[in-house]
Amino acid sequence: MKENDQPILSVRDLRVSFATEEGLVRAVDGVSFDVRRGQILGIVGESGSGKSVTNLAIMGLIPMPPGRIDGGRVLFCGKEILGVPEAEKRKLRGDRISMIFQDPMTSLNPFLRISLQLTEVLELHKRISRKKARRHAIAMLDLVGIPDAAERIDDYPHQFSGGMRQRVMIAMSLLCEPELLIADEPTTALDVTIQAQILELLKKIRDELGTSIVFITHDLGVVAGICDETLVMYAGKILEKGSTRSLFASPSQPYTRGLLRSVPRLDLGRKEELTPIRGNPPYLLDRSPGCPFLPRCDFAVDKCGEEFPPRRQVAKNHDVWCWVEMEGSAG
Amino acid sequence: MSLEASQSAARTKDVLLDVQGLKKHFPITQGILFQREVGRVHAVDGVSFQIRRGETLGLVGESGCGKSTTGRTLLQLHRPTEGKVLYEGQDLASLTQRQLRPIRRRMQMIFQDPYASLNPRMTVSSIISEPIRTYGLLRGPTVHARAAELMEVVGLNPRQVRLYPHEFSGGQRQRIGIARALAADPDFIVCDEPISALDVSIQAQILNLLADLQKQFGLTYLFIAHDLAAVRHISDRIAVMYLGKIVEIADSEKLYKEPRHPYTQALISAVPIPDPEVEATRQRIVLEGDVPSPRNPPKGCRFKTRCSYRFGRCDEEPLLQLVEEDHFAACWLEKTDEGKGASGT
Repeated sequence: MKENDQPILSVRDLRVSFATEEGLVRAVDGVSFDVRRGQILGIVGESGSGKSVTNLAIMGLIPMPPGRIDGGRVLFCGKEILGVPEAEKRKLRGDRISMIFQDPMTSLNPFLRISLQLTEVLELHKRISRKKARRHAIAMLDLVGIPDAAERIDDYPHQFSGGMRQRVMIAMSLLCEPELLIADEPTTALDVTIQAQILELLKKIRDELGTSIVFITHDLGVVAGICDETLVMYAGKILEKGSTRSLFASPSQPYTRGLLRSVPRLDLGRKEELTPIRGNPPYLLDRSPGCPFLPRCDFAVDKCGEEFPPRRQVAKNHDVWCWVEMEGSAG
Repeated sequence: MSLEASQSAARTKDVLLDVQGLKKHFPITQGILFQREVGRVHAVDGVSFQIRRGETLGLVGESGCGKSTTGRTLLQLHRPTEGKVLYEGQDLASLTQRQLRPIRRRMQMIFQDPYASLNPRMTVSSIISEPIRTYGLLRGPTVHARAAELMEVVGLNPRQVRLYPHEFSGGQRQRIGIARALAADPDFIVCDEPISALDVSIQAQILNLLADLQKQFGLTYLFIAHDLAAVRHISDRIAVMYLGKIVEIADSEKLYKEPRHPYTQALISAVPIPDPEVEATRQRIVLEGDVPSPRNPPKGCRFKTRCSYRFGRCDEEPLLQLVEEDHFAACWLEKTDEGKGASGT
């Protein structure tokens, strides 16, 4: 089908700001990217990078006010979804696009059995009978690896462990077989052995159901393991983007390079000293026209403070936003 | 006991802290007026280890394994249910609060959350100088000068000493917490997840700072964290905890290269490596199921419910025993007569 070459999601020059007491915070500042069908796209960034706000904007979940969409387009299967009426967005959310959040305990209603929370989605979007919905829900719990799904479905959220609750969340988000799944730090609250289980599960879902996944995280290790392509965000801007392999093999933005150098790696010999990124996280009220990483960058030139750099291609499917051309790869 | 014998050899090295059979159970009570005990959380359930002067012992494990409780019980912030904590030979568990006071100065703590662990209504100067005043280390205007000096030691601008915690970023606040711990002039610091609340780019700054301070002041650390890569980076030796027990202790390089306990092996293989080439070819041991409840831990080996090597013997509790020089593991696979072929190398 012709539809297959079209990206499932296209974001173009998205701008989101929040009015705060101290001034206007430009949380997302001109972000563009595509998600292809069946692809897992990673968005890496630290707190304040705008990675979560980007996805809340895609889902139409930005609280307005204080938030405001200042511009840009979000195309889902080629159709604009940014300005559409709430009723239409509701039809999309949970059905064709769904989301998994970081904390499964606060995203499930503690007073309702999970059976009700799961079947509700199906009844709402697919208009099927309760009995059929229940059967479908059990099958989905089974798929995500909840043992004795037929019995556990009548439990309350607190009766599940953290990892199991996240599985329930994933099952819920998959019930309507969405084409796009947005996972915002889905494993951050989990232990590493449970994280490994959930990552395997997400890969299986992509392979078996063909679901496209946007995976938001601060953990470079997780990105390396699961994402086909990766975006690196900093202070509301994309600083580097490319295939995960190329981006990790030859990081071309000083920030990406700094991040990779500053984390201790379990598989390499122990280094005497880590190479941290100096300085502090960005102050988002500070609106310099240049590159937001400038105050912490060791390679900065005069131009960096004057203007944000244009896109520069460093390899096939690997772009960077930086005035300085870096040599060699990260050690 | 084999452990005793082998550890006595290690005792010749300068041991600062010797923990013997430490247990901490928390009662679960019911009833409003007449509280009765209906169960116990076996948070720490018989751990023994030593911390040598000037070293960093890493303590890793997943949430609920008892690593933080162990740290707090060492400092007598929780009084142990059973067992001894010998600090330079003196059993802290047997001391009264009053007797503990002079020793407490020498044992400090750095907390996980730099937002919750600093009083928002105190200036940084009064936060840092509180231990100085509490223990009467200095008097008068020198106290303030010392606070400013400590700011500099931890890499903050001493002119910001009159500011309040909210005026600092997370990483800077963690530095303030470190300065406060240093103010008491301690020998030993328990670092309880000191970097896990910080941004990735800031974590390395704090790890480097802790390493520098250790060299500068000859500090001994117990470094508690769930991030095995960070723990290996900073620690000389690492103890791995699972459900209230220590399952393995070894030199940090050795633990990564030749883990003996199946849980340690699984834990190491679950840590994602920030390199897609490595990740693509890596064999991952994905453990089944979840950690059982510490309220009712499995009998025998605690890890048996998730262990793929499990056999009949695992219904008995394996003790932590010497498997090679300075390397201890609590697993029946290590028993010389049985299951030797299966031992993980």
